[in-house]
Amino acid sequence: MKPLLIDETNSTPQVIFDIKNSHFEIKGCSRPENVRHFFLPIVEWLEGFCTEAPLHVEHFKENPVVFKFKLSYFNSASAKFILDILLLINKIYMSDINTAIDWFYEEGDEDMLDVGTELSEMVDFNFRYIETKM
Amino acid sequence: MSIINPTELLFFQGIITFGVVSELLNKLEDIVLPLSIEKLRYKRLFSSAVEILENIQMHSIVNSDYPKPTFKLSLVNKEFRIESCNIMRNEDRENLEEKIHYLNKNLPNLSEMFSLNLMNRKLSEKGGAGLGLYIIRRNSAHEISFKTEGIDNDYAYFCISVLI
Repeated sequence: MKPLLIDETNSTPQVIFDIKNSHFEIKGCSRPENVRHFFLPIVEWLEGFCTEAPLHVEHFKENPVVFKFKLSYFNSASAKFILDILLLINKIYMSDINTAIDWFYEEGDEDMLDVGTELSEMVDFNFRYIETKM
Repeated sequence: MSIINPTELLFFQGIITFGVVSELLNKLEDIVLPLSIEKLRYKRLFSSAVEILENIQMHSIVNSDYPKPTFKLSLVNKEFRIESCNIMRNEDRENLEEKIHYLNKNLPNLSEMFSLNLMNRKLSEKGGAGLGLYIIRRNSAHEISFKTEGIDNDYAYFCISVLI
């Protein structure tokens, strides 16, 4: 699969989904002008990955798929799509792919930690929580 | 605690577009960050401002016969107050009033309500998740203040005020 690479802007996060380099990351602030326009390519890429990944289970045994969420802020419309993304990641995990979710939050930003735990419960997937100093 | 006059930090009146939202958020950042407030409080202020501005951007009625939307940030007794007003349809008033009353009275259940709504609600055609008011309520230690006032048969003036 071709990597999905989206540059960061003031209102949209950087997205790197790159199987070859085992790099899966969403980083920055998310309040897109058109939330569907921004997130649909990400959802579609993951749907493609859900289909293809089970064909390469051996590859992912040695190269775990670790999705890193490094969001400084996301609005309520983005939350809807982040939930969709997490559900797809859970689907990847359910197809025996070695998968993890690292949820980053800034020191002192308890709300980002709390929303991470809420999303984790919603999708029934244990996140690893990583505090960062910024 | 003594009551002091609010200090106006930011005021805007006009049509709220995506560009205006970005500009106002940049101004908010420039004004508030030098005040060295706690990170969590700043993030809650920013988050509430985004949701309020995006609600106006998506739902406000733009009609040259009526006042344009307003957005104001002030400092009141060491708390930030965001106030905004816009024109809405009369037919939407009842739902909105009920929703805010419900959120104000059910703070302990907000997390559960947020999760249920996030799981079950569909995005509107305009791209709204219908969750902005939940987030605004969660961000504040106070109830959401609001008033709606009918202008004519079709439209009403809606004002909201939150303290962070």
